[in-house]
Amino acid sequence: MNKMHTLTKIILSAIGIFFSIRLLSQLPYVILMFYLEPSRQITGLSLFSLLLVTGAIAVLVYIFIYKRENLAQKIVGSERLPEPGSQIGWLPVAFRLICIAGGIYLLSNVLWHTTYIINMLAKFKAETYSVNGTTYTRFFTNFAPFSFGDLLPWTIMLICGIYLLCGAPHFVRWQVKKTLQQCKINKQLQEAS
Amino acid sequence: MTKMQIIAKAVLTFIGLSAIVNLCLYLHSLTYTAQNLATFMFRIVLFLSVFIIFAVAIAYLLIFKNDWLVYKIAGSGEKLNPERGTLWLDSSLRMVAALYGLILLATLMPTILNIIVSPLYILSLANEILTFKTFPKSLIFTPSQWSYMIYNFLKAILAVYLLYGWPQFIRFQLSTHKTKSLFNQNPDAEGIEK
Repeated sequence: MNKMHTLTKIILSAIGIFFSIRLLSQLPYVILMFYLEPSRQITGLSLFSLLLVTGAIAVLVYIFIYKRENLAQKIVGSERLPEPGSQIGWLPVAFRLICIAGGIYLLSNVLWHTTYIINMLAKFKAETYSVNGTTYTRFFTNFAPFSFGDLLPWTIMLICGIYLLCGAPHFVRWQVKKTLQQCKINKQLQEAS
Repeated sequence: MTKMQIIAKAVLTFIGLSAIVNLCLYLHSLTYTAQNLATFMFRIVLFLSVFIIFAVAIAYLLIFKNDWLVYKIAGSGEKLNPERGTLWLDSSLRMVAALYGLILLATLMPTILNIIVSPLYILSLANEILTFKTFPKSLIFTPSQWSYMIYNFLKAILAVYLLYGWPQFIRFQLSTHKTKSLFNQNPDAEGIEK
């Protein structure tokens, strides 16, 4: 194991701990929801939100803390890579780590929004009333949980989050190429001057 | 520059960027109404002068000319050769740009989608204006709403620019770095780097 693996493992652990704590802050809201309006429906939805958040934390802790060795291996690649000091060996690794952190940030936002929708669904109540003998059903809510306009950005964020979590190979390759191009141009300018 | 100095520079740039973006959010308070015009104007002048001083100070000290702070934080050490120095500086600034761009993107997806579909809205609004000769009601927003929309729009542009790699700023930093290296090589000149 070289320095790059060790560094990657430390950063992965830091990412895991940071986002686990960030998600933990979501738990009090879920519990508060149950205390504010205790009913069977809200209990069920609160439990579902709780399950989602704790599940996400468990996955984060498992992958980023317990299985960080394997993840570091996948990110860095072969163990026989050069040390961080040697020019560009560390460049894709660092970009990949940034993409993973960005991906988890996007996904944690999506998870927050999902639990928010679940909480709103809990308040989504239908009421029937009759006018001139005809029965109408009216939904009392100030939120439209199934509006495609509202769901589209979050769906795109979910896709982007998963792509970034997978290491965003195209983005990383493009960034590395651009960095090396910039360095080449700078070297040429230095030689010219 | 040493490796630690370059890392410190990247971190300071990140802090400066996020400070400026967060500071700009306070511009929203300009839209609050006051009891009379004199109080309103006084508040605007006072707020803008403080805001401009802070924004310029952050941009100058933390983003553009942060070397004095970098040398204080990271101290001295083994300097990198020019080629590796360029690679380290370029890549660390690019990483900062990518990270902050992704952080901004996480909150701005609805704004970006609105910008993408805005040509469709503009066409229908133009038709409405030409047909009815009135200002469309759907465009009537409060100053507070306008300020949030403009803030999000500018943040979206910044996010895209940062994800693109922030080329102009990196070029500027590299040219400053190069100039300093040349300056330090001249034995007659006073060294900038300590």
